[in-house]
Amino acid sequence: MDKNRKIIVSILILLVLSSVLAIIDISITMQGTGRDAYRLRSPETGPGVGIVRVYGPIAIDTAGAGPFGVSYGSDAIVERLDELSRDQRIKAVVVRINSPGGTVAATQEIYDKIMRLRKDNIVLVASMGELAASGGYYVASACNYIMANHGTITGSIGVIAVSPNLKGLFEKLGIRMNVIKSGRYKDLLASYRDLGAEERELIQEIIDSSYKKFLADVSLGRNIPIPEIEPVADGRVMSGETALRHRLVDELGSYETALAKARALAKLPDDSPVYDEVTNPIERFLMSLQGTKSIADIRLDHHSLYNLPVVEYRYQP
Amino acid sequence: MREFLKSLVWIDYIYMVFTDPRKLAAALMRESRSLPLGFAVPAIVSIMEVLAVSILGSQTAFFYTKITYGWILCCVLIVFQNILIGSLVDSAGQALGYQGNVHNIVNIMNYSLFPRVLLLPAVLIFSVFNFAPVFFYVLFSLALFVWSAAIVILGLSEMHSAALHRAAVVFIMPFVLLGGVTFFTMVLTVITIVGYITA
Repeated sequence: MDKNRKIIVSILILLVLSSVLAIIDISITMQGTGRDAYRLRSPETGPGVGIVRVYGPIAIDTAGAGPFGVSYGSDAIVERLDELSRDQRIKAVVVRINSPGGTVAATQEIYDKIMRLRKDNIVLVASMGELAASGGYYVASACNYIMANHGTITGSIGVIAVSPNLKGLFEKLGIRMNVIKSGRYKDLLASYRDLGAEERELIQEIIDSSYKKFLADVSLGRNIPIPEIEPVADGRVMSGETALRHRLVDELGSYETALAKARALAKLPDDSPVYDEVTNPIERFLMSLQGTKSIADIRLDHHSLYNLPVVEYRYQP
Repeated sequence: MREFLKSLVWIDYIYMVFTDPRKLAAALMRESRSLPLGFAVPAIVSIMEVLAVSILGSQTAFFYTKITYGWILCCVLIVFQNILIGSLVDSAGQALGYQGNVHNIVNIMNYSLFPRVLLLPAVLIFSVFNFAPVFFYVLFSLALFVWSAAIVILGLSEMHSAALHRAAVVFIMPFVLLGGVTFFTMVLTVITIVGYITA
C-alpha cells in the first residue's frame, strides 16, 4: 500500500474512532450519574396516566371550533375525555380542576362523561388547584378519588341565577322598552322591570331542580347519602382541610400526589408516562393564535355574546 | 465490484477529494463502477451528521432511534438532494452549451460530500471542551459546504473543459433558481396563512 493510501486509511480509522467516542459520550451523558439514571429510558409509549384540565369558567363555547379546528370549553373537555377513553394506553386519568364552576348543562355534560369513563373501569383522580367550587366540585365528585390542596377553595354546592334590576336606572334615564310577547313569562328576568312573585317561583323551581340534581350526583359520585351532604350543601365555600373533614374530598395533596395516587390505583409503575393534553408545539402555536392556552379556556369575548341571565353551578363571591 | 473494492482504488478517490478534485473528476468519468460506491458517501456523511447534531442537543433515548433509523432518512434526503441539484446543474450546463452527463455530475456531487465527515471530529473537540460547540458546528458546516461546492465546481470545470468561472455559474444557477422558487413559495404561503387567520 502506498503512502497516500495509508494516510487516507488512517483518516478513516480516526473517523471511526471519533464516531465511537461520540456514541459513548452521548450514552454516558444520557444516562447521567445517578444510580437510577444508568437504566436506559425508552420513549414514553406504554400504559400511563392521561391528564384533562378543567380551567376557568365551565361553559359550552359558543364560537365552536376555531379556524384551526381546535375546539374549546366543555365540548373540548368531553372530547379530550373521549380521546383518553379510546386510548388503550390510558389506565388512569387525572382531572386537574381550577374552576369556579359554570353553566349547569356544560357541567353536567362533563360529569356524565367522567361517570361513563368510571363505568369503563378507568381510574379517575381529581386534583384540585386553587379553586374547585360549585361546578368545579361537581366535576370532581364524578371521580373515584379527590385530592385537594390544604388551601383549595372548594364546596359552594348550590345553584345561582343572577339578573340585574335596572328599572330605577331606566326610569331615571327615561328609557322605556317596547315589548311584544307571546306569553306573560316570555321576558322573564328582564332587567328593565321588577321580578314578579310568580316569576320568582318559576326561576326558583329551576334552581331547586338543578340543586337536587347536584346533590344527587354528588351523592352518587362520592357514595355518601344525601342527608349527610345537605348540611354543608348550602352554598358555603370551604378550604381543602374542611372539605376533608366533611368527606367532600379524600386526601390533601398536590398535583404530583394526585398523579402518584392515580398510578397506584391503576397499579401502574411509579415511572409510567403521563400524557398531557397538548404537548405538540405546533398545536400550542395554533392555540396561541386563537388566543388560548388550554382547551378548557372559554374565549370570553364570544361567551359574553350570550349576555343573558343563566342558571349556574358557580361560586360568585 | 468486488474486485473494484479489493483494488483499493476507492481510497485513491477519497485521497483525490482532499488533494485534487480535477483529477478525481477525470478518474470518476473513466470508471463507471465508481457510481454505486459513490452512494456510500452520503450514507457515511448521514451517520456522521446525526452524531454531530446529537452531541450538541439534549441527549435522550431518541438518539438510539436516530442512529438506528434516522440516518437512513437523512441519507435518502441527501441522495434526493444530490440527484435534484445534479439534474439542475446538468440542465444549466446544457443551457450554456455543454454536453449533458447527469451520471457523472451526481457521482462528483456524491464524492464531494466526503469532507463533511470531518464535521464530527471537529465538533466533538469543541463539545468536549465545551467551547461554543454550536457556533463552531455552524461555522464548520458552512466551511465544509463551501469546500464541497469547490470540489463540484472544479469537477465541472474538468468535466466540461470549461473555465472556472463558467463552471461556477453552472453550479450556482440551480441554487438561484431553487432559492427564487422557495422565496416565492414562502411569500405565497405566508399570504395564504395570514389571509386565512384574518378572514
